[in-house]
Amino acid sequence: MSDIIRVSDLAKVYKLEAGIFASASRWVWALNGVSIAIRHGETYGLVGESGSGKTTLAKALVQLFPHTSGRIEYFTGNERWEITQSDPRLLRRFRSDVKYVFQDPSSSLDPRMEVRRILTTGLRYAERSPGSARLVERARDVLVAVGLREDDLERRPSEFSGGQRQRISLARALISDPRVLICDEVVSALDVSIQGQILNLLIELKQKFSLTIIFIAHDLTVVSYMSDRIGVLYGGSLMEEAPTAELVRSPLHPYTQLLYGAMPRLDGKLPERGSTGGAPYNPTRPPVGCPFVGRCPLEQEKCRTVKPELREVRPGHRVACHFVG
Amino acid sequence: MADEREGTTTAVSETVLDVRGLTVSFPTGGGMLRAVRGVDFALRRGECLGIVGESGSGKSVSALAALGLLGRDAHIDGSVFLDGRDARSLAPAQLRALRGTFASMIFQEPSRSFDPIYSIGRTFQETLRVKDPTLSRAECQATAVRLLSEVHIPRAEERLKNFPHQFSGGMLQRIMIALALANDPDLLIADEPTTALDVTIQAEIVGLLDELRSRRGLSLLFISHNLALVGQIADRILVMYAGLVLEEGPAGIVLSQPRSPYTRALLDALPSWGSHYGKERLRTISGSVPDPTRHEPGCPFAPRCPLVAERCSAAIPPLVRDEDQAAGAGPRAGAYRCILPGVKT
Repeated sequence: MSDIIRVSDLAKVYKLEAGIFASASRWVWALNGVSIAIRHGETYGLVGESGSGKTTLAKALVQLFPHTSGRIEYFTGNERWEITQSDPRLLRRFRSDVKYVFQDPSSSLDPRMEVRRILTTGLRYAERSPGSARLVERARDVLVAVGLREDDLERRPSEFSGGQRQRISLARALISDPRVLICDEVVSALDVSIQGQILNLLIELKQKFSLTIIFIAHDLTVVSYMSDRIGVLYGGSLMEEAPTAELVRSPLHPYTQLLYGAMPRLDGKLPERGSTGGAPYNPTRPPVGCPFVGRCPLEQEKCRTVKPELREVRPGHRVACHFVG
Repeated sequence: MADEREGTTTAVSETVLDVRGLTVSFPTGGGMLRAVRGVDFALRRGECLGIVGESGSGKSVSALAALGLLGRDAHIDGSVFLDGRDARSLAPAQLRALRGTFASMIFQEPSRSFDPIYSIGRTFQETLRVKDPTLSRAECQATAVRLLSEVHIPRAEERLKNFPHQFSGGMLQRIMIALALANDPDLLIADEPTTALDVTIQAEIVGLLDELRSRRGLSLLFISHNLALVGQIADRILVMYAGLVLEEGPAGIVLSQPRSPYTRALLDALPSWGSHYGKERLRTISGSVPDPTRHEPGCPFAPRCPLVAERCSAAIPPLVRDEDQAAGAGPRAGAYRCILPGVKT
């Protein structure tokens, strides 16, 4: 399988401006050099705790803000595009191909717009707008594809339930005929009974529209169910990456083990705990060595001074730890 | 685990919270919203009862109504016994006094439960002085340090000077629990206490609650939408839907051999650990939760139920308790609400 998006050594540092409560500006290291290759047609899952950099990575991918350093490449046809803010025309074309779907459909849909406008507005300003008659026709098609009815075009978001609104968000992303969908916690705000409907819909849409999906969620069971490969982020760094079945069966990084061990399962045992006591990663003062220092049960002197590189320990299974593999 | 507890509960086996026939409605522009439509549950000393349900199922409203914490616009009916006393017949001041010495509650988002301009020490002082206004600052501090150590906050004395924004979400939830212990309660109600937290922190908080329950003999009412999480801490589970209890029973049994088609469908809608979309699709529940202002007769789950029959929409099915069916099943066995013959065990 060929790569569709390749991220190399991507970093994002935010500046916290000095203000009433802080006398000096500080820097927040949200992403510290992440390299990931997304393959054409796969679902790539990203997991990690809050502050791990999942959303920063996804948002930097579509350039909702510029990245600090590193490279984002996109492969389409025989072309290779490097994505930066400096080429707005290329960026616009890239953004029709790579679509972002947000967590909370009620805050990401304009309550004053009817569905027809929500769906068509983005495409109207796109590089290759098909003209307004064609636009409404397309809107109708995608709305049916996500399981809503044609006459829902004239209704407003408030007339729909949470699950239906998430379908509208998906339709809005699909209308530009994208190749990649970034799903950032798309089922987190939904009830269990609705969550399953949306997950099944995503699987169906993926096949129907030949999509590549980047799937972000905090529920590890859901991510494992949906993804072909999974990347585990902590403190803005990729700690482990493996095909889903392998990661589920044998997580190798101590952080992945901690994360998976803490997950409630239906077999009713209380999850393991104890080694989580240490101080979590502080993005304003990132450690020189491994970001997991302070919480890691395997920690040694070397971890505090040398940041472990990602190494391939088995085919397709990469781990960033001095003491694994 | 259940066996251990059996031994200790024989001495004090009284019921801490007993709710019978509870109904709660709110007047709205679109008619009466019936949030809770006749709910019974009992919580024994040292026991953990889990209430699970989707949003709008009435799980939080039931707990708030039980403690008398709903606003005046709520129409409440039924009986609530707190520590054996009829809470609904008490005057507001008496109920407040009973609550103050007997029950505590923690909520979903710890960061929103604290006043950002008060230090943690000051928050403790204010809470402790509600009960005893004569407490000195030093006494308050000593009690606060003891409570914070009980929930494993390191360097408790120093941290009393800190403000809420200086703590992580998990730490704040621990402090919230410490505050809830200030009145030395017998009953602790936890309403989605870990929903805003990461899984690793969630595991710590649930572990802490379980530890406090066994150390202090606390009774715990644990409300959550997460079936797996409730299964880990609760002895018994109540499954609510559209303001009704659809199933009740020992946690392990409800989650492994559910009898209500709703519980079954909820469990099926969750991906199981290690399953993959390439191999199996999720069996989803079609449709959505019924509108609580529309009063349809019949089983509330009927429009979405995979097993639905014509008579399901005639009347709300009765809650069938095991003791109604077989003598010797005991009052601690389960109950479910379904009239379909194939569903019965």
